[in-house]
Amino acid sequence: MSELAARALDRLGYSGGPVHRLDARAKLLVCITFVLCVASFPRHEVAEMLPLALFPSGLAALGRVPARPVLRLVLAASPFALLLGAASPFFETAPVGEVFGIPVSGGVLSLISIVLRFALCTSTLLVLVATTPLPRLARALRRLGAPGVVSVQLLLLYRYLFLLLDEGERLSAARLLREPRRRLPRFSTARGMLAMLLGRTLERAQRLYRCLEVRGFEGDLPPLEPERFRLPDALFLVAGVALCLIARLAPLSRWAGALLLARSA
Amino acid sequence: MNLVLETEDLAYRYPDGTEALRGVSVHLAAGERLGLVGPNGAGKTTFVSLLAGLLEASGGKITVAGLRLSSGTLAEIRTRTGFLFDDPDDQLFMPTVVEDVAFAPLAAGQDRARAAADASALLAEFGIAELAERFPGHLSSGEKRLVTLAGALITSPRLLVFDEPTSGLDPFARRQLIEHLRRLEPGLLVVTHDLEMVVELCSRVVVLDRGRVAADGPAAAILGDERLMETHRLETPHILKHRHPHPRE
Repeated sequence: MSELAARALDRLGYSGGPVHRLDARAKLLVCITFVLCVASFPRHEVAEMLPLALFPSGLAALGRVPARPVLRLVLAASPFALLLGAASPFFETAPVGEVFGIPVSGGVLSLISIVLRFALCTSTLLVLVATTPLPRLARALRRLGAPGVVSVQLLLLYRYLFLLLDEGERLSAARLLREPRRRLPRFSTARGMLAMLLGRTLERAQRLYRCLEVRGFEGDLPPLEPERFRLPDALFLVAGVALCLIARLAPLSRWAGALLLARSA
Repeated sequence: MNLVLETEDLAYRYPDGTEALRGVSVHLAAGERLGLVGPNGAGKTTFVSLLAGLLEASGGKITVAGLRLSSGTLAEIRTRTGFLFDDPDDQLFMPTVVEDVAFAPLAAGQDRARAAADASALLAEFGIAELAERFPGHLSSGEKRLVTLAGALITSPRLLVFDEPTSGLDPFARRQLIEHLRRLEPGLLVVTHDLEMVVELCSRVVVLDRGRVAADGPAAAILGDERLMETHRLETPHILKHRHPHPRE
């Protein structure tokens, strides 16, 4: 299911829209600023990070990116974040605060904070991919100073990733047809399938190299028309970075809380 | 005769000692269309790999468009030759269709504007101009095949080498491709199992079997020889059999 969501986001990247048309460098720089802001919060911080959720949601709304595939992919990858923070509640047991009168330990806050950071950063990157085709991002990285080999690797990886997924799907379908009563393969079967997949990947890599060679590849995949940085791109960059910094430096959650309390009083 | 391809006593032995090709002499004149056919394991793909300089022959010589194949001439020969391999996905590695078609001139350092104009003109010629900005991975098999053809033609090659060009195509896309191939001017070497296509497209056929040339001659005569075809695990194309009446609907 998450593979379908990934394909859906990839297709969305090629649709037209105001956010899609922005220069990939501007979007990339704003997203990097956002990720750095999220990462810079203290490890027990939760409430102050919540307003940052407006950034991926806003970008998704502007780029007409549906929430479902993004949430599905964030959920699919969330076990990694949970795994990272799972040990915290066992090591930091001392209470650091209360929520509705229930004491909460530093470890629990740390776990929630890790999961929140992960969700914020992953959803932002997914929205970025859904509003910018990956090849444009790879080239933006290069124009921002990343080594050319990284850009070429990313371009080729992107081009062949879905073909590799197709190979995997075909292997899986072939197994299911011959073993219809078993949802998951036996360990030995899975091992064989993985070996087969690796073999096919190698074979594909050899064929690809052959084609690169005969077409005159000398280590670079040159763009036909480099992107131009225009006024809307500059405005987006300045506004995006400014909003990220405000959300990081100003106590927005406290202000919102105070406003709500004042209204209810 | 103005030859665009000539191989003389070409031989190739795999590193394990298996002999893949022996004494293969094939020639192709400018503007001629030659079909290279043979059963599985005959050495057809090895032959193409040798022409592309991907394998090094263990004997004999290859001359393409007047240049003898060697490490010094390989780059020039690849510019003068357009290769199309059986799986277009291997060949379409650029992020957009137009960039893929323009890849060879760009990689050779040609002016971007000219490469873009040439690529757009070729796409328009094939009736696929609307695909220019699409990601190649999102195209149908027939579209991918036409894009690879445009990518091979952009350098104005004197020789085109196609390895199984119709594999994976539906009948309409296959027909479309054949019609495009018919209009091409460069010498054409088609390596294929699609013998019906060979009858339609090629004037001459070379039958390769167990690494040797088993027959070389006019397409209709060679492919219509049922005994020869059976001997080399091939089948006479239906279009050449035609000995039974076709009832009208």
